[in-house]
Amino acid sequence: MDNPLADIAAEKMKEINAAYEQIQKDRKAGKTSYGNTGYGGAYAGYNSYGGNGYGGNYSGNSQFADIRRLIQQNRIAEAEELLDGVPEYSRNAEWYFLKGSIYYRRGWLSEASRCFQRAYQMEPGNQEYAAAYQRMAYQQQYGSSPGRTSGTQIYGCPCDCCDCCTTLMCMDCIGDCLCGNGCC
Amino acid sequence: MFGYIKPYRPELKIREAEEYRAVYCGLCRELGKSYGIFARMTLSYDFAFMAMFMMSANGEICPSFENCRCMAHPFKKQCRCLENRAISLSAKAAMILTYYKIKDDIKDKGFFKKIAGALLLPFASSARKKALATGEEAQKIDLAAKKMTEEQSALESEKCSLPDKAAQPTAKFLEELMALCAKGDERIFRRFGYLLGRYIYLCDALDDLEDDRKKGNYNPFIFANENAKEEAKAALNLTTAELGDDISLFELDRYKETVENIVCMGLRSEVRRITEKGGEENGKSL
Repeated sequence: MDNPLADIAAEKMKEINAAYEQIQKDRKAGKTSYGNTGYGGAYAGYNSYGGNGYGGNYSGNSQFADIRRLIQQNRIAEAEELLDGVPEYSRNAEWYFLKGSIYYRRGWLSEASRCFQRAYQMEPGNQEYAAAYQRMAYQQQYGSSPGRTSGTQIYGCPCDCCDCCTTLMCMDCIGDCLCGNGCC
Repeated sequence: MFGYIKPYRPELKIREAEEYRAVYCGLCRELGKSYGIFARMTLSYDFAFMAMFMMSANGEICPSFENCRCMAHPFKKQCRCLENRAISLSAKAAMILTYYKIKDDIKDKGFFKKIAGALLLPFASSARKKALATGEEAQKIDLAAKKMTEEQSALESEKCSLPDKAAQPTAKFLEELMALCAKGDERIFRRFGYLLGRYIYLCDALDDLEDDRKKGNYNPFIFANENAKEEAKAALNLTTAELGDDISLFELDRYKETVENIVCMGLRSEVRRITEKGGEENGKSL
């Protein structure tokens, strides 16, 4: 599953990596003492965005190599036309995966997730399909992407966080009243 | 629009909340000043976010502030963001959208809505004309809004059962709107706009689901019968997750924390509020 913005994400990733290497180098040379926190966080974020390079995982043994190429070049309409021309009986797991990728690029996320699921079910052993399916299954459940921390603590855990939130909100209301903001 | 884009207040710093309020006030003021008192009624969180996001992501729009009173807050001086390109663009979009929404209401809503629409239309129409006179940007917005309404009503009359497809017109409209404030690579702005529009449409559809069911109105989720709510929630969760990914590609300037708060937490909190209606309320007025 190739995000339509994957190239931009990859570019950012490159910058981060370069900065990280620079820091490592400096550190080895004993220049300055950087804290050890922070890098990991930035990394995790972009890793999940680039889609862990799903597109790149693919081994080249593809029935629809030309369609894959079109999708990668963002020529979605052409790719879809070719894909829809494939007769029903020869629509295999890869067909569904590619259909899902097209939907995904277009922003039709629900259809995309349905197609990825189908591809995964037809060929559970394929890593590419599994990764795409699992990522969207996670998103569907939690409303954020795997590896992204911001806000996950609040909603992600199944424990009794709701109580904690309500308490915070009540405190917020009280705070507002005290400050005299609560007039309307 | 509908007010589904709000910050998640418990995680907002006081300074950030003040800035957000100032932008909200600034937009209200701009609506009143340029388009008359009727326009102030259309003030919504969505357009406040739009203005704030543009200031944050574009980076070239420099906001300034003043302390002042207004009709809504006669006793306390409020900090207010002065007019700038982001605020005036949001105001234009709000006016144009209001006009098309009212026209739509007159066309296919119930008796009372029709009357209300007919009464408001002259105001909305003159506001739209004023906005259109400001130049090319407004005309672009107008074109996109017109296209959205036409496509939307076509999808509704064919009873489109694919939520993805039903959300497309709104998504495309927001895509065009975001493209107007793009800086650097336009694609990030476009995808963000698309997803945000999709989010708004789906939120609205889920929010109206029970109502539409009772009245027999069109709703894209109605075809999933008893699974409707689950399906809607999954579709929204996918959207907020992708938005959270997309926002990390922007080089946000000012208001970074507030924008991230809204995109990464506020949207999800709204989804939760709508799915667990009657539960928590995060929609306190400013």
